[in-house]
Amino acid sequence: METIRNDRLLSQQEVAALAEELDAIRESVLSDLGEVDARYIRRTVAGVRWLGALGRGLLFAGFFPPAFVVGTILLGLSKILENMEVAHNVMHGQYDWMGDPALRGQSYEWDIAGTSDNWRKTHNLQHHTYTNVRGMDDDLGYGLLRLFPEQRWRPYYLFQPLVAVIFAVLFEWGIAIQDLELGRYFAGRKSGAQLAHEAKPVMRKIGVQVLRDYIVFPLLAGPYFLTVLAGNAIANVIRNVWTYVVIFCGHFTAQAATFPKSVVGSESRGDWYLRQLQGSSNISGGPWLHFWTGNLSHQIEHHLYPDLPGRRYAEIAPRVREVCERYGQVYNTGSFARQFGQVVWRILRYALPNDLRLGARRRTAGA
Amino acid sequence: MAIISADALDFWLQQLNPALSVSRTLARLVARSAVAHDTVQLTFAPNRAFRGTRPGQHINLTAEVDGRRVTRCYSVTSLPQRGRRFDLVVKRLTHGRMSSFLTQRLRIGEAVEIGAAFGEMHAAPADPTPRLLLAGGVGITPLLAQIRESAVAGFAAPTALLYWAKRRADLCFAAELEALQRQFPNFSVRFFLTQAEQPQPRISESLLLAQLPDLASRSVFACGPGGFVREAGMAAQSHALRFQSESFEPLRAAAAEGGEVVVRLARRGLDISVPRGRTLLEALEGQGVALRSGCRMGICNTCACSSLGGRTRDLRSQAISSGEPASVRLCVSAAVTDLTLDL
Repeated sequence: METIRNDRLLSQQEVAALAEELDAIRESVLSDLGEVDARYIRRTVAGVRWLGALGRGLLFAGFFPPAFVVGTILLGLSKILENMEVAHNVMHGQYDWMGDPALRGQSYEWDIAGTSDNWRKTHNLQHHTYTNVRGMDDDLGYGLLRLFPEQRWRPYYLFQPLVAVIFAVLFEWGIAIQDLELGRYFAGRKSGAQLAHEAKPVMRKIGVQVLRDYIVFPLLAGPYFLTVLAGNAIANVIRNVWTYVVIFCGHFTAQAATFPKSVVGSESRGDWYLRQLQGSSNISGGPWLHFWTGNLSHQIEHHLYPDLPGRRYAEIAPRVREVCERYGQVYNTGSFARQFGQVVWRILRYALPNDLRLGARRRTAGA
Repeated sequence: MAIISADALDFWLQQLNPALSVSRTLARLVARSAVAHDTVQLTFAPNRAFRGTRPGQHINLTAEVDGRRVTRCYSVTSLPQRGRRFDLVVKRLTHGRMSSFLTQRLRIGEAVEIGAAFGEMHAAPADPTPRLLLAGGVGITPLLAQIRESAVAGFAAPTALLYWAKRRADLCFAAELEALQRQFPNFSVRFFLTQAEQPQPRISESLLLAQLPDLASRSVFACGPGGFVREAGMAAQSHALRFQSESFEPLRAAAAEGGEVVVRLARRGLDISVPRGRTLLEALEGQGVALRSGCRMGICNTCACSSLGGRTRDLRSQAISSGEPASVRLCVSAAVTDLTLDL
């Protein structure tokens, strides 16, 4: 199963030429940004608000089961849309060119347990700069999962199929504490005072989210407190699981490559482009799939151009793919079922040691 | 952070009225009328955050044009009486994005964002010092509010207005000014049409001295394009009692290569010289400014900050910014002109 990419090895000149071609695609989009993109993101924000209001409104009538089901789904959709198509993309600075303070990448705050500031660090900086570099991109398994054979196996990973499911359900909480690096604290490499200092804004944000979804709106429902609370909790879980699935399909498919730390530092722009290309995978599908994944179904294009508005990825994807073909680079795409199947396979396969022959580990250790 | 964000509250309020906001000063366009060739008067109804205007003041107006926020300054022509509503006069410029938008595309009922009114060029109506007002083109607008204010008080001070425009059709409020002249002996107006069939003279020292023998006793207020105000200064400054002026300049042209520019860090209150060719991040760090930064290659957006004025070059594409307030990634941008950053 361990599919190895068969990318053509490029000369330095070819890498530079590739960078120029990919830059040209970027420039053509940048010079074309304007009213259509602005209207699109405004309408998407309006969609978030109306879906959220309708969902919350219906949940107030949640004693009537169909209202509960529809209200929960609409609220979940609102949260998905806000997190993926609005917040994730806005925080990348995709709409900074508009100059609208409400859509400014540096100050946008999203509707999820984690703070935007932590996300800007772990995602925008670490994950996007050091994509799939082992030991630098924390998103490679989030310190919880073993997804690549290069990660060292420990007996704990035998539980990872279960851990992966729990992590999906609680994904927003995982993201919320990701940057606190609790592992370092427990290993004694971070002081309690430091952790307390870092945890302050995190706890504040968590407080706001808990207050909104689990206290204020349920209280507004009076006798139906528990109904609204349950609807809100389920809506959050719907969003958690969907964002988890989409993100995992973006980097943990069979043909997604990982890289050693040694690649960083001497990389040219072209090398960086190549690493983004080789570490990312797309999900093929129609406009609705792209919309509801916040255009992260075009993970390759997103990683090449994290600051171009996501709605443009579908339009440039054929050009990126054509460049990949000419330079002999695998363009990793497939149906949702295929890509997610590969992710599940990785979770199951790397729960086990690489070498499954009895006694193999001991032999290697002794060698 | 709040249970419901200010942006969300604004969204719902604006379903009712586009000028409602809990956090921003917005104004709704309520009327538009032509006052001269290519020139319109716009009446705005601001929300409660607006503090009002004084005669002779200007307002920064921000609107989204082709998806990008653009800010331009316009003079208030109305008097402060009518509630907090105010009138602006806007002349459409050939390549003016904002002026085209305001004169043609902004619809009645839609809202724009406004700043606090500013500007100090003003004389109290009760001040009896004789005045000379010099208007170049649409520079009539801040003077108009002053004239209207004096008219309400019956022109306590003798006031002469000399108003230059290209042709008759370019004159704003000519009928109103002529009516004031008939009504008040203390007020006179004279038009100079420089591109009429029989062109009339431009502003000059000899013309002013001929028109106003008592120039030495007058306070002079001049307003118009940069060139007009400079000529007005040369013509009047040495003869008049006082001289005050305001000009509006179009955006600075793209500056030369090489050399140094001054970057002002607004929050720190620092002015720092940096070379044009270097990234702002490197150049500022080289001068000992500690800045937030991340990938240093234009990906992660960590170093992005607001530019409040001045132009930058994106070193990846070589594109030069328009000079509008915008977000700048310091690690891939270099200064082209003097620059003010929100740092």
